[in-house]
Amino acid sequence: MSARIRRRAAALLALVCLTLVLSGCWDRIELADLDMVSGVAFDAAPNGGFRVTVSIVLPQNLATGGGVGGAGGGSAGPSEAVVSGTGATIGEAITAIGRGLPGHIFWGHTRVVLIGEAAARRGIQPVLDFFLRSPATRLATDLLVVRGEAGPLLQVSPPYRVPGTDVLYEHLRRQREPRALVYEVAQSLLTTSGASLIPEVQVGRPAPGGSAGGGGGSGGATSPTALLFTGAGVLQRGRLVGWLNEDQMRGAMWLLGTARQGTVALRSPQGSVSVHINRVRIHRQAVRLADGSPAVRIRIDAEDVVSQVDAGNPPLGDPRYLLQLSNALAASIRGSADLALAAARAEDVDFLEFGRLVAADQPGIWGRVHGDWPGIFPRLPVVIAVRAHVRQVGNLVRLQ
Amino acid sequence: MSRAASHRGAGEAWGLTPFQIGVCTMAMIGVTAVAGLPTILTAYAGQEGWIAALVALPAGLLPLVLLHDLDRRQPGLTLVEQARQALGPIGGLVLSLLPLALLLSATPLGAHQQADIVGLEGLRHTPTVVIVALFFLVPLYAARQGPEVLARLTTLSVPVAIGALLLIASTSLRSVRAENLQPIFALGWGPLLQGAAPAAAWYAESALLGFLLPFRGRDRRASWAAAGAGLTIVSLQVALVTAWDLSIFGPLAGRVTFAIFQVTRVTNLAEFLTHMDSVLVIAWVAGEIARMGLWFYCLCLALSQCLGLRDYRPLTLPMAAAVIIATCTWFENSSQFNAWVMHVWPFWGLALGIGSPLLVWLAVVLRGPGPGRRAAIPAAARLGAPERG
Repeated sequence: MSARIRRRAAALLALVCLTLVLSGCWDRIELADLDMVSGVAFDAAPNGGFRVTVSIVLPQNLATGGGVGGAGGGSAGPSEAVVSGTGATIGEAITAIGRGLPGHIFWGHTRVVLIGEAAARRGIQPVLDFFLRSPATRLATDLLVVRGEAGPLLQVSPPYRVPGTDVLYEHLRRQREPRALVYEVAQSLLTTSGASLIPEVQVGRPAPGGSAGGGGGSGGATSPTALLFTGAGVLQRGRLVGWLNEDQMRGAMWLLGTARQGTVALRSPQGSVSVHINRVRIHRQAVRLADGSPAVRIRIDAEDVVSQVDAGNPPLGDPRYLLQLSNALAASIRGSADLALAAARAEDVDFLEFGRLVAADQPGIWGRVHGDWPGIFPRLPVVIAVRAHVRQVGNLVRLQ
Repeated sequence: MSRAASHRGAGEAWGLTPFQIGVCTMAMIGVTAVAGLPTILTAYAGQEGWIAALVALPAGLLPLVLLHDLDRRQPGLTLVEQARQALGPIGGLVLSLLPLALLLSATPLGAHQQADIVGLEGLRHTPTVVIVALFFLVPLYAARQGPEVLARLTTLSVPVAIGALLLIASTSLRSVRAENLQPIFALGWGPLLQGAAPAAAWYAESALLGFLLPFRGRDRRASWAAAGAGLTIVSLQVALVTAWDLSIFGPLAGRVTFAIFQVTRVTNLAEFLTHMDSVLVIAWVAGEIARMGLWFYCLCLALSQCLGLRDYRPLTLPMAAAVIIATCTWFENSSQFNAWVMHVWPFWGLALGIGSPLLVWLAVVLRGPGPGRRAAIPAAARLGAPERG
């Protein structure tokens, strides 16, 4: 056998041997062996521990399946299984869950993270640490906070969409609610104020005083199994320190520059009109006052279209009336923004990220004042200018 | 006859094209820089880490300028050959220990970074030695084939890696917050220069082009310009990736490991393309294989020329085993590795990266390449390149 043939035979043998490792070595996991988590809830357990509840997708039942634990319609069984585990740490709780599951827990498709009130008051750093450290999780996963216990929310099976975590996720995805993503909340821990907002979710119970505000609303559902966004939790240094109602939360969205679209109900002597906010431009700027102190200017421009005449017979063909509507909308936005600002000042928590704004726009001033920021923030002058324009009345000028 | 000419096949005018040289420069320095530097730059220089990536560029261009002048004075010789030419066998050997030390330390260091990333992102249960050994197969084979095959492999791999970076950037656009980069120049020069030091050490690895550029084609100026352009692109790439990481993660960017891989965890294109981590790992591994091949080739070539061997290829298998062992045993854990990269490497890499060509250049300038000394170079040391024909 010539040397050339021997070389080729050796190369062929090497190639055949290499195919042995193509199957994935030590880390091979079959797709069927993955237990995919769609939502997870963290609650406080006694003695400083955690109770972790996961909602695991049962893909074989998704096409025709019902809700959690077979509660919904369909003949193929439940679309999700909810499993809980308790431990001194999150890791131990998850290990306890894993003991009861046949496959490997897979976090890559987790869409929402619910945190119970007690766990949030204790501090969400362990939750953030778990998500940031693990390579399998998504950092753009939504965080939500729940008054009371979070785990039971994963058991809720809304009638209009399965799995239940999809309802929450779709709301958030469509920018109807403020979003608090894992990496954004983790970032806020490293800022001077260390404050952030996390949307609050409840089961079938509208928040007291909740009404249409600046950025649209999700209220109105009365089903006992409905999942409602009812405000937001205020976090400082990773601990829950207070709550915002729905109006305050909408106002915070305007002031943070995260409001995108929504529907606002406006009342006037001629009737009641709903306007849909189509386009929003928000400009936040920190400025230096004559005495060298910082101030914040926020300019909000909203463009809208009349989406519904709810009552009465408003003269939508009259340009002056549309101007009135525009002014009313601007006042509504301004009102909710004022509510949020008042809440931030009352709680003395800079969840509106004004400190970050001053640091970015006025670094010279920030270098001087950042040590005293907690004292300066409640007295910080904030100028809010709102301009709203109702541009169109839809396809109908007048019905009667 | 120059070194590059010595291994050309009969009747064939072979040499690395300027494009190949530029791409090889990008692979040799850029692959590990893009993965590792952004976190380090941000940890030192905060939101100005991306500026530090640009400030450090002259530290990489300096070795190139020195190598260019050496190539003008003694064309077609590697750094080791240049040293021997100027100082004779003993003096040359002593001076050659500098680039050899850089190669011996940085080759397992890069392999360790690769094993860390692959182990962290995907193969958590696979033993490190298996990961490193498997990833060494292609570089080992390519290195044995010589610079032309390595250059071809690199021109295939680098565009894939750049394409993956662009894909990651476009799918994470929604998460970008430009205000995270503000204010600019607020921290002053201290943190900026602190951040620039590790980047400078990385860029100074351009000294190793002293083992690759002797295989350039006939157009000397274009080849050197391509190397400079490749290094500049690496610097821009690192700056852009750092700015991207910062604009998404803000102050968190300096606290996560391998920030560019964390960006894949926030990617989202129309709710359809979300899990892009595997795309980046595949593309990065492709670039890393090309990088390891080039470094490993330089290491074997430099060692063979120091030892006066006729051919570098007998060294490839034992050196591969040595590098794999060093990779697996050098660091106890990732914190030790990170501490070394952050606190030791800036001094070590910068001293060797700039010191190697600088001392050789000084030796050549001061002593000059006499005809007698030129003949002192053993013919065996020139035969490292593959046989062609």
